[in-house]
Amino acid sequence: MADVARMAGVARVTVSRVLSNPQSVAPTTRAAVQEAIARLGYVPNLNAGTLASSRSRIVGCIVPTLSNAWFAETIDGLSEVLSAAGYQLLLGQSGYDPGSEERMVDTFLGRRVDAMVLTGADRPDAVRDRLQSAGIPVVETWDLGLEPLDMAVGFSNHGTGEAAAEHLLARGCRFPGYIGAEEPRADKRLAGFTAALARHELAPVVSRAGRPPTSFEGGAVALRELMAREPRIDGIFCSNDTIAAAVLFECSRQGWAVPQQIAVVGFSDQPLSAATVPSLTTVQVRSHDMGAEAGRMLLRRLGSLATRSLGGEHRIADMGFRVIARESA
Amino acid sequence: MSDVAHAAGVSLVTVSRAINSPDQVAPTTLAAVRAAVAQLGYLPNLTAGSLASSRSRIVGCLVPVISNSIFSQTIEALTRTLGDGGYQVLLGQTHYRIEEEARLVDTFIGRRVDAVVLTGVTHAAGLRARLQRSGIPVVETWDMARQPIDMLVGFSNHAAGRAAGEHLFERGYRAPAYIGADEDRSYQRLEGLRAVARERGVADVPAELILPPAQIEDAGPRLTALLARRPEVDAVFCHNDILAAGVLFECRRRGWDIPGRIAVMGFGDLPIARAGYPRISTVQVHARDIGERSGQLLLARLAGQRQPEAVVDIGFEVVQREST
Repeated sequence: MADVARMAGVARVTVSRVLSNPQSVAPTTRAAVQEAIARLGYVPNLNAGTLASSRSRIVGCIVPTLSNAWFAETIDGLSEVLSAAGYQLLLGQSGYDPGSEERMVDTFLGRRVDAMVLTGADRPDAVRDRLQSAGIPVVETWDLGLEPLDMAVGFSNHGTGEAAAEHLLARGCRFPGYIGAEEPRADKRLAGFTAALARHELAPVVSRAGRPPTSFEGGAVALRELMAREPRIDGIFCSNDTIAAAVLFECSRQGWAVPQQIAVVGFSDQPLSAATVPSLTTVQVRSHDMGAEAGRMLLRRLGSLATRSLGGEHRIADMGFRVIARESA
Repeated sequence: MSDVAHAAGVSLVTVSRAINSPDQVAPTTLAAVRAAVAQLGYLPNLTAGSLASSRSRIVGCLVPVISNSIFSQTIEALTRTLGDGGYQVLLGQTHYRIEEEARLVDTFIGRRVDAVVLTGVTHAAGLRARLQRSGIPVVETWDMARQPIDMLVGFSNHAAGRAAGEHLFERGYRAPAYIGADEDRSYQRLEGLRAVARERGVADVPAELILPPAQIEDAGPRLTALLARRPEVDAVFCHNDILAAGVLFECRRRGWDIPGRIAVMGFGDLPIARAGYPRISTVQVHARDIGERSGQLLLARLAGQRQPEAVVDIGFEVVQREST
């Protein structure tokens, strides 16, 4: 920085001001400093700024996996909003393992991240306590618990299961099936699906697609198992669109007509879902928007967005869901 | 930290070592330190550590977009490999713009990241010099270059395009076409395909190039446009498996037999290629290996080890399935 100051013929504090608050410097001085920066290839040390302001401008984000499109879309939305405000994203993958998430939370807090974004609403009290005592903003995503740790942006997973059941029932489905991943949020969708069917005195035949991240192969195997157990199955709700697409492909292979013989409803909606043959009916959630909204919530709290109102309506954002009726059901 | 040392009955330096380089500490000692850490709810200030050692233990990683599972696989493996070595990944998306890449690299250098991982080998003017002057390790990925900035883990996109072309001609197709993206690595695959076609006496390979990122819904309209111009096309090579799946679905919608009416070949070997109906022939790229090898090279360099090779060609393989 001393070199830049010398070349531009200004004091070091002026260089610093050009970097942190350019509007406060006269245009000609600013231009001289910026030219010196460019000529010297000077890259300001943003960590030094961190110590002075005790802000790292880093947000920690932990998702279960990047192998499935939906969490990647959430990160995409989050990263767009944060990057535009000068924040970077420190990324962690828990592999759906709470212990692994706990270790990452500790690592990220140790790095003094300014805020955290987590996936899901269920975590041990010890982790909640540590996050709360860290005193940084935290947003939980992809679910709405009874009492968020701090802030939450999500939707009712139970509600999505109910909506899928109602859609299949309205089509006259009498032998409902469910294929899902073994993870807590999928289990909430199954609970909603089961509850709505019970109101019509029906119960789903359940087949598990294995531990997440789910694969197309897992979905195909689970479908064959489901049909072997109950050949009359006429409607299937899948806990995500990867499983649902796998079910469509396997039905083509087996010669089972969709939706005439079996109606298929997925969950999440991804670009693939609109393209398949037949196109996939799914319960759409706003993966990308959840990330963007989580980013805006954090920025508001961190003081980087104009609004100062931090009422309850800004603590929990229910992003909702809707059934997108396409060809498969 | 002294509370932890006291509770575990070890010295401060042992606690520090257990946190920063656990593999250097005896398993029983490590367990005692970890138990004390958990019991006391101690959170080491890793930022303080970074000042003392002038190491941030953060690696900056730039990809075009993350919501495209081929790069997600690389990031997933990179994050895991570096995480096991005590490093975290700071992520940036360039949206296929070299100016955005340069801006993010400057931010990363400003944050004193310990290393940078880039996608591709085409960068904005001046970026190479700035990275080299910063003195931090750099890995470029997903391509090959005569003069990498530093280290490189990738494969030849031109050779991959050639391999796809050779496969199509061997299977008897004579009028191949290409659906890809308007970006560097996609052009190279197209040029590889065109080189093979010329050798077989096919002067022209029609191509549709989409402004990246190419989405699955782009495939149908592009196939329609391609066939309107060139009805004789009998095989389509797509620059990734997502587009290939889109072409496949469009053909099924038209009731066309694949590969009888038209052959479809993808690139990448994403799960969709294995699962689609029919299953998609593709050029398998080891996306996870790219992330893992990059992480290993960086960990070795950051540990001060000498490296026998700084350029790793991880290659690719043609996988024949039902669509060609």
